[in-house]
Amino acid sequence: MDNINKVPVSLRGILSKDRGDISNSSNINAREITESLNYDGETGDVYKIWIKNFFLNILTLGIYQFWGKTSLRNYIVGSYELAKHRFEYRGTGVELFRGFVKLSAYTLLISIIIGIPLFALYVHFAKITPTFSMGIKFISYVLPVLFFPFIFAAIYKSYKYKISRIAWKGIRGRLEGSLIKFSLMAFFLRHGLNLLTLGLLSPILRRMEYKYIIQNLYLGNTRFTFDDSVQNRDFNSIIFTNLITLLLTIPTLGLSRKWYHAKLLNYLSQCTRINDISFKTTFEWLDLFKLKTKNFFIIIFTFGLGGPIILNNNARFFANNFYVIGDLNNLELFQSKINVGATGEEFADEMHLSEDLGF
Amino acid sequence: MRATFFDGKTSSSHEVNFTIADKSIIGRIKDGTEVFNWSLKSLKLLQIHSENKPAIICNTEHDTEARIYIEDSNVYQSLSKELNNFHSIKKDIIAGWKTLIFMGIVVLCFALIPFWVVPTFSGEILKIIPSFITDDIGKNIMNPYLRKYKIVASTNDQVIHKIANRLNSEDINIFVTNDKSVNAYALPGKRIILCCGLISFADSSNEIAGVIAHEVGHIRAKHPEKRFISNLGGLLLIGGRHNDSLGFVTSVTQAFVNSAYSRKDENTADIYATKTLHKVGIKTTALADFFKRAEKKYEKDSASNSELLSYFSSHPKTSERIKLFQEEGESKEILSPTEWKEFKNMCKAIKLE
Repeated sequence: MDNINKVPVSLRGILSKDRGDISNSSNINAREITESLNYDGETGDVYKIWIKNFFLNILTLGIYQFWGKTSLRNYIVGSYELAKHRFEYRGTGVELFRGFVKLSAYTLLISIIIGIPLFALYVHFAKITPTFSMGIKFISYVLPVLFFPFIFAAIYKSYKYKISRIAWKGIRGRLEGSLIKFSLMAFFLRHGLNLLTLGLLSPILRRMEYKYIIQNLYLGNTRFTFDDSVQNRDFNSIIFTNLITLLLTIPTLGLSRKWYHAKLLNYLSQCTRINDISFKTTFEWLDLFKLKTKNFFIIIFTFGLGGPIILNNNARFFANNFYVIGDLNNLELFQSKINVGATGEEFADEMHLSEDLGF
Repeated sequence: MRATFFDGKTSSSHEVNFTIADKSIIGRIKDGTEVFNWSLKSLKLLQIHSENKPAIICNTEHDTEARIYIEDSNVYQSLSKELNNFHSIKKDIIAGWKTLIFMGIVVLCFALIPFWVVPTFSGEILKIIPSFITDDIGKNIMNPYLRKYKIVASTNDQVIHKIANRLNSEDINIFVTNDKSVNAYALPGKRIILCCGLISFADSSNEIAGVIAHEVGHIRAKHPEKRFISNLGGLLLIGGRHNDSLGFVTSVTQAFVNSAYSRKDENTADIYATKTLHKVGIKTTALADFFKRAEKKYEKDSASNSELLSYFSSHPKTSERIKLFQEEGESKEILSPTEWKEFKNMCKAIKLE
């Protein structure tokens, strides 16, 4: 317990049994003011919302899902607290529904513009010439690949929407950046090149993508930065870890990759800054593995009904390993006037593209 | 009453004391400076106070990004009482339901496109679809059917050509298949399928001519094409269950063959058949006899053989049709006895499916 007295008051809260005594670890410098992210959501409360959503979805033939999703996000985001200030989710079901209606209209329009001539061509020529038939078949296989980058655009749009609806100390987040640039980068580099190089370039490509997101991330009018100037040694070790864990993937049934993922996540968060504030995560490969395994078995044994447990576990795990270093009182933030619509959000959801942002 | 206030412009928080006076809520910081003055009507409770979460209140009229956080449960309770348990929340919930109903209507409108708009305007839609497309749609509907049944004869055969020629329907492709059901189909792209079951059931060539004339009536009125477009929403739903295009086409064919024309369409085709037969000097009495026999057989076999007699079950009431086709006297057969025998033998010689 001696250690507790040596660290600033703000850090004492995190030296609990749950979070582990991190003051002994080299991860956190005890002389810096460190704030921990707290999460106090209860599985029971998540279940209440989840069950309500389930029945209202049935009653309204699925229309309630937009409001249901919002109320769940409201609860999860509102359960995070940083420096005694709660996060707030400001999205509404109506805007999600509006996004869905817009998307449906676009889809209908695109289907009419592209679908009818294609269908006519197929119907007319496919049965006449076998070569043409093969050509059409080839196009039908290639066409979805051409649309693949748009999926990443939708994911990025969904990030933009979610971030813009999260507020802390009354200030909304904001994600800028080009959808096209992100989607091309994600498609050709993060996935394409990564696949071609059998994952060898994974750390470089993932860092590039993360850097792009962070450099376009704002809290109010204050921009986040990605500073990797002092972390080069760490990054070399990540490249090495990637190589080793790739080689060990088959003998360890993929377990080795958790080591790499934990290291990479910790590295990326260390490179993230907003003014004088920096971030730190303390993910350990074994914890990450335990969490994923636990989640897997919960899903299997509850036949999918354990979703709320997983949601809550993930949120708590993220909060327990996330720290903010620096004096948050000195962080003066101003609200941004820019607003983001919800169209892409719904597209990403329709395509089951929602990615875990820690909540 | 104490609370924390964020003005929504900066991240600075203000510890405020607030009071309720004259239908408004006023917040002041320590030195007495007023930081907000919101009308009670404009208040919206974003988060209900709970054991570990503060109540969050915002203003819906102006400064919409500003927030009041109430941590103290006693303060929240007394404020809630003062505001008569937050009238605005109830209003908001009602507004939520109204929005939900409105949005539901919007979704229904979208659903109405394939199920109401398309069927209603199928005639107009058909006008903009080139004939080669409807021809190929017919081909595609027929192909899966032909995987199950074989073509026994077509318009290229002399006897069938003779009937088609006599009925001024040389432009129509007539196919006889080894299908044992007593049925005939008109398909998009000017195609008629006559099942062997129907030919075996017929007693004279004029009965067959009557059935063909009826199907030609459907084709002239473009009923198959209209039916295809009208049922497109439903057909896509049925087809949507299949991932492979082959399965989709098969189920579209199945749905097309199983679905019936409207009574109005059947009457149109019957009237066309009557007129055509009269025009070429054939009395419809044969067709009336055909239906009389069918009625008897249908009554007798309806339980065991309804599938085979689907032609009659899917058409208007047989008695009404007998009435329509009934007339005095008899006319000369469209085929000679030898030709009729040859025609009947087409189906006898092969194994029916």
